[in-house]
Amino acid sequence: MTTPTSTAPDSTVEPLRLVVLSAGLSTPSSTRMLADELTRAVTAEAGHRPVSTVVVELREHAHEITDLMLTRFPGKRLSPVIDAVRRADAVIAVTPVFNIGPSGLFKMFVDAVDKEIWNGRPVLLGATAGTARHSLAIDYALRPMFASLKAELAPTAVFAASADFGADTEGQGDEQPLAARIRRAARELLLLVAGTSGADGGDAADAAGTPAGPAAPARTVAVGLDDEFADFVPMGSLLGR
Amino acid sequence: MQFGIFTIADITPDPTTGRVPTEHERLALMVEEATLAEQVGLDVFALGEHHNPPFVTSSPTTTLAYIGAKTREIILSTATTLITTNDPVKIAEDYAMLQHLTDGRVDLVMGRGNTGPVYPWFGQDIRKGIELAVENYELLHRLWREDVVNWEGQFRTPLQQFTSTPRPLDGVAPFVWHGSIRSPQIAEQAAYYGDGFFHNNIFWPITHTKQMVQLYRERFEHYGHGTADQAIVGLGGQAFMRKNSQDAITEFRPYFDNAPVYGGGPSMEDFTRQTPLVVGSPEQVIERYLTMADHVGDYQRQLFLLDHAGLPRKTVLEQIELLGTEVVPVLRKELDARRPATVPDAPTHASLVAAAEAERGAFDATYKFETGDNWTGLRAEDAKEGRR
Repeated sequence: MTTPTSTAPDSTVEPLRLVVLSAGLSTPSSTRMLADELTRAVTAEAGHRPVSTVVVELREHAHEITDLMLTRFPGKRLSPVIDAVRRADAVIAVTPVFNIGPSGLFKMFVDAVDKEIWNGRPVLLGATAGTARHSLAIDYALRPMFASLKAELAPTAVFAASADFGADTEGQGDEQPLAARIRRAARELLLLVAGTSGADGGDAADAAGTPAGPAAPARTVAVGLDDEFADFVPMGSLLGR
Repeated sequence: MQFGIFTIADITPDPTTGRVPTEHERLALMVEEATLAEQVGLDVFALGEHHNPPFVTSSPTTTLAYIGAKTREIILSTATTLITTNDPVKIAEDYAMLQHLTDGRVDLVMGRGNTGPVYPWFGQDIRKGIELAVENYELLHRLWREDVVNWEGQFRTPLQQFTSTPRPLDGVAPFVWHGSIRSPQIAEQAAYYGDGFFHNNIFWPITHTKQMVQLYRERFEHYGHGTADQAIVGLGGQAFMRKNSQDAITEFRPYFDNAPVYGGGPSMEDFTRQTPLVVGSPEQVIERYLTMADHVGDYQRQLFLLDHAGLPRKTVLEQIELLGTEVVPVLRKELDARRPATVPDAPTHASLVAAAEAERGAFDATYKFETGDNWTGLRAEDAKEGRR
């Protein structure tokens, strides 16, 4: 693997669209710190491919996420966030662990948006908590949720306890320092991106020309519909003729 | 253009008094609403169908037939008829019967229903909602157009040599709209048959409604029923009015804040910005609803929800009166004026009869079924395949 910083992004290459969801509540939050570290690692590991990043603090959308749960349509500020996830080549999703699960805000965001937006989409999971004793929350709460949504999950998820932010050398804190786990997870996420070409099927394959990944339903009408209507089926097929 | 009201007949406590109407009171109010709607010049009264509390509209044709007997002009419609869990044979029979009894003042809006358990209660599977809507309507469509139907499908027992009676009045099936908020397949279904498309947008932003209508219009043209702007579109609407708009806001707020459908969510101010709900003066309602056609094109039917969230009887009747006397006359004049002559009105029984007569000549009152025998059934050797 080349040293990440040694390759300058090539502006002729189509950027990788990365959406970073951070469900931390405080400012500054360790959840956001982990999200930022993961973002930096993905950007560095992407090498020559530029990364265009949208970072979303879910806290700023808390009211509209609740409204979306109740009304089923997104408000003006939340709508572009959902669109960004829908178009993303990869998503980094980081939540604090509260009461042995993701934060309610994080879960509500996932519950509120169309579940189709996760289908086939590469996702890197991260979580934070006060101590390492909460680290399995990723595997028993977050991973099954995204598996059920059919996201493409990076095999390595990154958990950071408060102590991890101080222990950055071997032998301290964890046996694998946080920075090493972050790098590995970032590489895995990029491998998933290389293996898919945008889960919504409507976008160009990635700049490296990798073959298309999971097939999305073919769009047979082009009337400028939002992607939420992409499940359109013509009547002939509906009637089975 | 047609204007009217639609109701789901919910029994909701009045949040300002805690009073809960009885089922009997709610049903009586519904009848009163419909008769008042006719008196103040509205064109359509449409009734929902639900099979669970807090709703009292499990039997729409009974209610509509009763209202039909108490009225003379108003079109009786549904909002919606559950094409998924009702037997299409029974829909064909019930609504043809209603059509005869009310001299053709009937049309229907098909819907899939939004209450999960209704499917299993009626022996169906909600995951098959679209397939049920497609297959059941295909059968219903044939039952009203073919005298003798042989049919086999996935969801109900097969039919051999079945004749749905009474045959539609004057040989013309009731006009059908298909209602859906976000399933493009239903817009497609409406377009395929050249039926109407009703978007009940009352809880949705117009940008969403616009896309569904646009899809329907484009597919309507694709299937050769006319140009896209000639497709038959209906919209939902919602308003609370007082002469002075501040009075409307003050009076409606507790109903908004506690409404089962949006209570606890966006503020009334946000919701009125995001959806077609208008809380204000009749002039503000007019102003808002004059803009709908800018988004969805010239359309044929506008229905308003005025009676939910526990609003008391007196208030509901006042709202209908304001709608009929102050809002609709202006909307009708302005919207009819902006609509090009090439864009048709919503079909009525009279217009459908005229179209049918132009195509196949006058309907003969002594008409006998395709079998040539109205009364004694079929001889096997005479049986014909139903025409498609």
